[in-house]
Amino acid sequence: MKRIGVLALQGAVREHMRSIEACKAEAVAVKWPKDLEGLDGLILPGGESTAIRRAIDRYGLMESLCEFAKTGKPLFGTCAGLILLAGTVVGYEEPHLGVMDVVVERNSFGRQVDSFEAPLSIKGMEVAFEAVFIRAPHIVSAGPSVEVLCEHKGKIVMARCGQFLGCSFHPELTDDHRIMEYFLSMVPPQRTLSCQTIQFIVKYD
Amino acid sequence: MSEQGTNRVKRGMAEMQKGGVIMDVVNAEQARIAEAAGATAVMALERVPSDIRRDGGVARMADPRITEEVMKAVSIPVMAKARIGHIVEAGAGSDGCRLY
Repeated sequence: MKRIGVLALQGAVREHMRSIEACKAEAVAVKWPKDLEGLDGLILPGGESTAIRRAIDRYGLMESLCEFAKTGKPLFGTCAGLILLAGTVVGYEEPHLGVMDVVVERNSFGRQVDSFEAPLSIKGMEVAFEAVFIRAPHIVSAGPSVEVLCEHKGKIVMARCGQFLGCSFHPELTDDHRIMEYFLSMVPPQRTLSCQTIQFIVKYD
Repeated sequence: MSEQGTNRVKRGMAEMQKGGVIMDVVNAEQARIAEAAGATAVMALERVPSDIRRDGGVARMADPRITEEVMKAVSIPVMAKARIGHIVEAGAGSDGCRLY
C-alpha cells in the first residue's frame, strides 16, 4: 500500500487524508521531520500559506521538506500548498520551498466574496472536474519543463513539473478523487517485498 | 458555469482556517501584527472583548473605514460583523457577518 503524508500543521488536512484513504492508500499526518520517513509521496494542503510557513519554521520542517523533495518523490500542493512549492511568489522576495518551476500569485481571483465553483476541463480527464476555488492563487507563468494541465479563464490553475503537482483549487473538498488518483499514479510501483516473500526467502535461503 | 457564494465555497473557507487562530483587531496596525504572528484570519471589531469588560456597554460594528484599512493592510481573510438585525449598519460595510 502506498504511504502518502499530509503536512498537518494548519488547514484542510483531514479532507486530504479522507481522499487518500478513498483511493486505497495509507494517509500519514506529518507534523515533525521524523514523520517524513518511509513516505512515498507528500501533500501540502490548503490553508493560509503565511500561517503554514510560520509553523514549518517553528517545527523545524523546512530543511526536511526540501530534502524530501530532493529524493524525487512526488509532492502535491493545493492552493496554499501550491504557493509553498512555487519557485517564485509574486510580491515576495523569497519563495517558501521554491522547488517547482512556476511563478504563483496569491489571491488572484479576488477576495472570499469572489470565491467560486466551476467545472474544469483537465488534460487527460474526459468528464469535467467540479472545482472549488477559495481565495485561490494562480500560476502566472511556468518554466519550459512544466506541463500545464488546466486553465480557467486564461489562468493556469493546474500543472505538473516532473515530481511536482500543483493546483489552485481544492479537489479534497469534493468526492471526486480523480486528481488524487492521478497523484498516486505519480508514485512509482513499489519494490518492497511482502511478508510472505520474505518468509519464503528466509526459509529457503 | 462558474458560481459564487455556494455552500461549498463558504464551508470550504472555514475548513481552510482549521488549526489556525483568528484574531480580533480594531485597526490596521493590530491586523499587521496578527498576520506576522501567524493568524489565519482577523476579525475587525469596534472594540475587543477586554475593552468591553473594562468600559462596559456593547461593541457595535467596526467603522467601515477601519474594516477597509484592515483589508488593505493584510493578505489573510478579514471578517467584519454587525449586531443581529442592525441591517442598515450592516449594509454600510458588511452584510451580517461577512467574510472578505
